[in-house]
Amino acid sequence: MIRFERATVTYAGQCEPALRSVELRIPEGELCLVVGPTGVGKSTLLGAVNGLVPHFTGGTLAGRVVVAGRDTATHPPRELADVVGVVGQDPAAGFTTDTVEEELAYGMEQLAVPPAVMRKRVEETLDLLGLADLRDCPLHELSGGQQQRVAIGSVLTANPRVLVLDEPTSALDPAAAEDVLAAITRLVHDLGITVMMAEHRLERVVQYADSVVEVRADGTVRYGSPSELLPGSAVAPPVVELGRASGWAPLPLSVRDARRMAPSLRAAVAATPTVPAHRPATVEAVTVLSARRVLVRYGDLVAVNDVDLDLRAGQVTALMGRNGSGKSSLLWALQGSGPRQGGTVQVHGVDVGSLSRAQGRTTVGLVPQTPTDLLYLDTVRAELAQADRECDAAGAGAGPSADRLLDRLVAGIDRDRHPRDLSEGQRLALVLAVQLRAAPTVVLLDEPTRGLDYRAKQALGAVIDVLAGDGHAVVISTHDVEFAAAASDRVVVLADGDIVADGGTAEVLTASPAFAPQVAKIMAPLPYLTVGQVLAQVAP
Amino acid sequence: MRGSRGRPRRAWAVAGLAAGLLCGAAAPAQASAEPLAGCTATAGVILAVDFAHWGGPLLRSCGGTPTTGYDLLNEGGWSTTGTVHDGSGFICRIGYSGYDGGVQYPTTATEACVVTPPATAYWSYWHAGPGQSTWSYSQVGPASYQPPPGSVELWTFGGASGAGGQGAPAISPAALRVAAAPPPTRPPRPTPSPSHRVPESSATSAHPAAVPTVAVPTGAVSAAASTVPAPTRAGQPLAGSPPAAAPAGAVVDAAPAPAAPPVRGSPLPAVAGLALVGVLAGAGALARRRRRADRR
Amino acid sequence: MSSRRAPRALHPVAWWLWAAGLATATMATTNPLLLLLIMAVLALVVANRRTDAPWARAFRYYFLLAVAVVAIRVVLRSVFASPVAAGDHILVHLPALPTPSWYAGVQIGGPISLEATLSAVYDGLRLACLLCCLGAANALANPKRALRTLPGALYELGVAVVVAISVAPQLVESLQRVRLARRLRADPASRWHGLRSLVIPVVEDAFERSLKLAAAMDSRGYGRSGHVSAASRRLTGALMVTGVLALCVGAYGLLDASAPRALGLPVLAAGAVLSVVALTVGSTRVRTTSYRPDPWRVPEWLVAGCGLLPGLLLTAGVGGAALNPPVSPLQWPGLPLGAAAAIAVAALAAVAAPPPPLSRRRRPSPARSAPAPALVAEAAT
Repeated sequence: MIRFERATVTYAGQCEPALRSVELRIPEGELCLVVGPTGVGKSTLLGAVNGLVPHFTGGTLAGRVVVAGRDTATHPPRELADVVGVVGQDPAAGFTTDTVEEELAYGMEQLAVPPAVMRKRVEETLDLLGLADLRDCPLHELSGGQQQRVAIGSVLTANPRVLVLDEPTSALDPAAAEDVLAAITRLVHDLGITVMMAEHRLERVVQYADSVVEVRADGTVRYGSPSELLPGSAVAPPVVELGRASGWAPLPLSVRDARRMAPSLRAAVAATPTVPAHRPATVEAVTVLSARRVLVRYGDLVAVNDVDLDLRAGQVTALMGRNGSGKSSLLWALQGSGPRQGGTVQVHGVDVGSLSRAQGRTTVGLVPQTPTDLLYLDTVRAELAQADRECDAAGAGAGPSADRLLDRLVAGIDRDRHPRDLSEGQRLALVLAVQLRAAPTVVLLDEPTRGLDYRAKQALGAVIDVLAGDGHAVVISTHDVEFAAAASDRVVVLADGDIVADGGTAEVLTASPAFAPQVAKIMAPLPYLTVGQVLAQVAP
Repeated sequence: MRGSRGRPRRAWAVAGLAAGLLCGAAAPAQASAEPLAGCTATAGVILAVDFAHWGGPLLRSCGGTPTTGYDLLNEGGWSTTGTVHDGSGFICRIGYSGYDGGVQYPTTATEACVVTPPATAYWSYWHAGPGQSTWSYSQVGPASYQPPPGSVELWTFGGASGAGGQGAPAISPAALRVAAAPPPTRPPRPTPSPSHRVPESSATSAHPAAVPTVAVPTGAVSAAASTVPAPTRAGQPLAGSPPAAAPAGAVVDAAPAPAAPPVRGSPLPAVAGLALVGVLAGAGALARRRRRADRR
Repeated sequence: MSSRRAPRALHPVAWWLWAAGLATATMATTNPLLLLLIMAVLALVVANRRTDAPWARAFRYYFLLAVAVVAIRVVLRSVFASPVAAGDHILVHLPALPTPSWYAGVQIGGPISLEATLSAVYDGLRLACLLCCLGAANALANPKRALRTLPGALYELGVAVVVAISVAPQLVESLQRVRLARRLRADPASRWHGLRSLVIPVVEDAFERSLKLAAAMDSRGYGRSGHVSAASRRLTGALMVTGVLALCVGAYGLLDASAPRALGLPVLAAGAVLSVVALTVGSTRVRTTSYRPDPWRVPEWLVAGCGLLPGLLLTAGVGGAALNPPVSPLQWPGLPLGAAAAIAVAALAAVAAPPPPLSRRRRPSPARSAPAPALVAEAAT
């Protein structure tokens, strides 16, 4: 169905090709997972299937890419629209109409499908993806998962043979991600559509994949079944890592398979994990921020409902909950810049709302969901210099410069590059350096793990460890259970503006099956959360 | 200007004043219109308006100084109308209460006076300063121009532009000055129309030279004269071959006359109209409230 | 308004014709009573027949703009005052500023008369009424669906306009988000830096979104053209350009009284014919179908008709001199019954059009990941 014959893609102005001599034969009806570190070329590979690379993005394609018998060199993307459907990372950016029904019909209109056939296909697609009661809903009112399903539906109505998805679940909470993945597997098994999917958070997906394409740093790819490739791959979900470390064969890909092999491991480890010493308790647990009865309301909608929260120095708190439960609103209210209709937020006895902007920056620092909103200069160097100037003017000039901070976070960023050209992880590091320059007492991170691969997440976890070690109180709002398990000491769960759980990481994350990390599910009933904890026990 | 607190009160005051004034219409007193004898080479300003486009005469009257061109046209029986778009500063219609009962020309049938009239049919404004014998096209509007004593102002209708003197009036300023030679006579036309005979202002005029009243030619001739005037040089001799743009009528004196009583109209249609507007707007507000209630 | 009729969205062109008819009627009169009547009819029909979509709430902003227009006219006319004749009613005396002789045409200050104010009000009221007609058309007819009714040859132009329309709310949301984020940086810098830090992220965001949208549309088959020869394309283009030029020349000839007669109506007609031919020839090559196109039924005819009726009647002069009441001398404006009745007929559109489809009242969904800062920003501004 999809054939890459010695395909090499080189972008204009780059000396190294992004993809080098790719050879792939993907048969029909296969769910193929594309894995690889951030920025390595997964999007380029997916774009080449459709012809977006090179017709839309520019660059040179040497070799051939043939999809369903059509060569992308002679067929621009619009000529391939009836065989390949593409869903990008941000489905809302690809919507062209107002309502769900019209969006589903748009692709068919472009392909000149007769109106009677259009009506029928729209109804079938609504049923297939469970969108029937949303048919008249305006697109901007849908939740993230619903938008993702509408985007998939809108390319499905053209009856493509191939579906290409670029990180479909990155912005979704676990429940919505499950919905989307269930829909995709149903398409594969019921309709026989070939699906190529790029994903970072492999723990959810790898059990459904029929084959894996691993894109490596030098631009070459390897293709094979998951059990062949994942043992040697640079990125692997926790279950695979655990299996690799424990020497299980065949390598289990799902929790069920791993549990069948786990009894010996469970017997070999102690009943409770030792607390790893990566955060020595050199700072006392002083309460630095205390929030009482915080209320945030937008008109009729109550986003944060009388929440009480205490943050202690050196403690890392993970704020979890589904999309729309009020996490962002709470973080903005804690910073002081967001609206707060009731309650108090005090840092060292001073209400954050009464601080000036400059003082607020040295008290509570926030890295927002879209970090690039803070960047507006042309080079990394200029941004760092501006951060230094701002902090000197605010009187917080002491401490390492922004440049040194950036090196501590991520080394090797070229200072002359434009900030928008950096990868996700590098951008996040830059914004973090800018905000940390002011050395705030409390550091808040709003969904920092979106778009980061495992390695980048480990690096971020290390940075957070350092921050906690220096005495900052850190709060991370995230969906990523694995990351929360690895990086945080305390988990606070929000639902509909209320705190429903607040306790140590182990106790909260193992209490509910949906929130448990993979290792916890494998090692249940023992309260282990990460591979590191298990390995620390096994190999002392 | 006063602060916002004063505005609602002032709005009520304006409304009350307007209502009071309109309901009790009284003819306002005349300003400084003067009999024709008051205009000499060194005092007074002569105003001349040419109604030849409609087959009428060229009416001449006198006003005292200091005055503006606009005031001259709005005293002693003269009245003007401006356009809605430009305000009363742009003269769209001129009328004299002693000529044709005060009807303002061009009438509402030919010119609505909503926007600025086209350059082919408008009242153009010409000055001749004291002692000057040629006309100059006015560079400012009548409200901004204060004619020096002894000058002559002329208003003609038709296509005219200041550049190149196109459409300049054929009659010379000297012909209009009272103290100068009497205005040239025209051979009398066969059908005199008595309605256009302006009552001789013998009661007020002490001028020795009688000003002959000449009957107005028939409409046919005036129609011919209403085409786009060919460019003429000011000061061309009037005797001899008359140019196509020669005024059809003779010069007629217009003494200060009482202004025509303003037609106020009745407030009833306005009240009815506003009531209708209120009903419709109320229905709209009701629909809006019902929609809001439905949503709850 | 009756619950027996099924809710349906009226064809957008019907609403635009209705509004165009009322706009034509506006241009034919300066009578304030008639203009206020037209505005009341617009408000009535909008209140009755608009949907709940965000774009449908725009009418009140157009109305506010209209009121501002009238106010600006009155203030300007008062300051650069009209001359006051003897019989005018003076409202208030402003101090007159002397103007230099080279600026002598303009008079600043001086007494303000009721006549001058009223003439400013009448003039401004006409423009205000036109704005309200435009606002009503925008509030009643979904602009995106209106653009879908364009002929095939203008399809791509219509899509460009649709995308441009959706950019505005995205820009607003992006601006709010960036403004909120800027508060986190607390830069002490100059206004230039402050403006730059606001504009650059918004513009970059807009660029990226537009690129993503373009890639998505390309992947879904937008722009597939049939196999058309270059000669045919050139012919269509030439016809179109000539037709539009002829339309412009004809319009100029009609409006300018001094242009030769042949330049007016004949050239306009020829231009219209050429444009129609070009559109038909061009439409044959664009092959897209329409999903559930809006039908054109009896209510559409009724609505369009009752809007065009006052336009035609008032342009033909029904109402006579009362259509343009004089301001000096001051008169109570008359109410020409024929014209008023014709305008009142336009209000029947509120009944003739089927009730609008209102969305079912949903609980405001705790939506996607992005909006919380946008909501925050909304509440913060």
